[in-house]
Amino acid sequence: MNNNLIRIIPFLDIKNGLLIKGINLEGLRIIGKAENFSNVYYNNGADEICYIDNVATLYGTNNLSKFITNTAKDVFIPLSVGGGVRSIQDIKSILLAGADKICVNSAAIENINFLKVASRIFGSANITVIIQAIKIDNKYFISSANGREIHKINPFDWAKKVQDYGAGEIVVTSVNNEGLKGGFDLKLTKKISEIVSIPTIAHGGAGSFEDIYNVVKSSKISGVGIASLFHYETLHFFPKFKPNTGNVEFLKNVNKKKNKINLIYKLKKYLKSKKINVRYEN
Amino acid sequence: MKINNLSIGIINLSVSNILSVYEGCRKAGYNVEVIDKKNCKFKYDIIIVPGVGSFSSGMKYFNENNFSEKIKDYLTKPNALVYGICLGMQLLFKKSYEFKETKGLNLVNGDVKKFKNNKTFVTHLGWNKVFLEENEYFKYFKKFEKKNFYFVHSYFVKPTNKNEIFAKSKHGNKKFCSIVKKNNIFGTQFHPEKSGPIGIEFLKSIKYLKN
Repeated sequence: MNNNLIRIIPFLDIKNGLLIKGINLEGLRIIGKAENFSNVYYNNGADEICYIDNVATLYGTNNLSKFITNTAKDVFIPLSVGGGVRSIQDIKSILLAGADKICVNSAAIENINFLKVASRIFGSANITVIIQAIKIDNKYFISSANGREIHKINPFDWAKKVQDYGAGEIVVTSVNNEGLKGGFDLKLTKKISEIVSIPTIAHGGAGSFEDIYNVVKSSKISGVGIASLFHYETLHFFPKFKPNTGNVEFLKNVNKKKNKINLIYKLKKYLKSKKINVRYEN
Repeated sequence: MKINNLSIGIINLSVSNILSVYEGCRKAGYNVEVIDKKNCKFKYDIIIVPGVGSFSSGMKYFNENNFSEKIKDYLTKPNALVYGICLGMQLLFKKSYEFKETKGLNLVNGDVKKFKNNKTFVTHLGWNKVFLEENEYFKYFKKFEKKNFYFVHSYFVKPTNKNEIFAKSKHGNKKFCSIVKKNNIFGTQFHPEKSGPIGIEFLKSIKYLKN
């Protein structure tokens, strides 16, 4: 039994410094400035922040450094960063920019030895592997590039393998459940968290406090990655935000008078009442 | 003592990310500078040895740049204070068993050992409480009693002199030293610069160790 506190980790999908949100990791919406959101989450009691630059994988670019540095100036909790990480140099520049952990997916699928080298240089604890698990006809596969590329490897074997090659932590993303706010894939999460002896983070599907409680209760995870649930509450903090591009239609419905609710604090209070250990301080 | 009159020098071990330590100390109100190959004057009120990377790579950097001698000279000054964070604290000890037995700076007597798998993860990663020991500084630090700080390490320090244990924490069933203090040498296994607002408060409180 892991006696550490369950970490509540806002997951921010980033594109050019903007926070975006996809549905099944597709159909992107611009929600706001990522730095504004991470500042709110930091002040509201998040245990960690995770930035994923989802377009970076497709284009093999990484413009994250400057943006990471700006975040690290105000946000004094661990910062995980992923998306388009392909080389040791990529990892080095992201860490030096102010990130604490690196999230890897495609690069590990293409060459598993990349994990071995990276964990030896930077330490296992700084190398997280994201497993984008996709369920097709009741069978699980791993995927990359936001579920666009499916690989004929099951996520359970893969989890064990990435652990053996030096990963210090695993994020299990359910591609099927991601962005739908209908609950986590409990079976997938439970199985992976029990197979490995490194911390596992559940991601994809958080729609209610109860969903989060259920995934914590039913598995051996160390943390929960939450996106839509937090983002759609937090966008009301910034009613003046107007992006120039992208699908912004839904932002017009942002009610400017809505109260600012500290959802992270409320979630932790709820989890604590259900006897889940969380960092909950006044 | 006014915090904004105090200066901090952070040793840049080149392999490590010192940005958060730098910004955290600034947020706490100190005047902060970086100590590296170019700027290696050890003339600050507080010197921080930060920590990411491995024990042997950290020691290699210290030895190559003659920092071992410089830090020992600095500590002979009456008002010096050296503060090691995570690996930076471990480097202050006599020796470590990370990968191979490696000699440390030997400023604190004791070893650095690996956690054994005690029904939990070998790496202690995440937020955890500190339990302070009673000592003359307790009044300045009691607000941190049982508060959560951010840890990420697989090795822990074991001071030979138990009086040098300033606080303990628990990983699985294993109690270990999470804060050490020996005269003007101080160290935390956790990262205050990653521990949220309470971590910044902790950095502010370092100034009381100057008394």
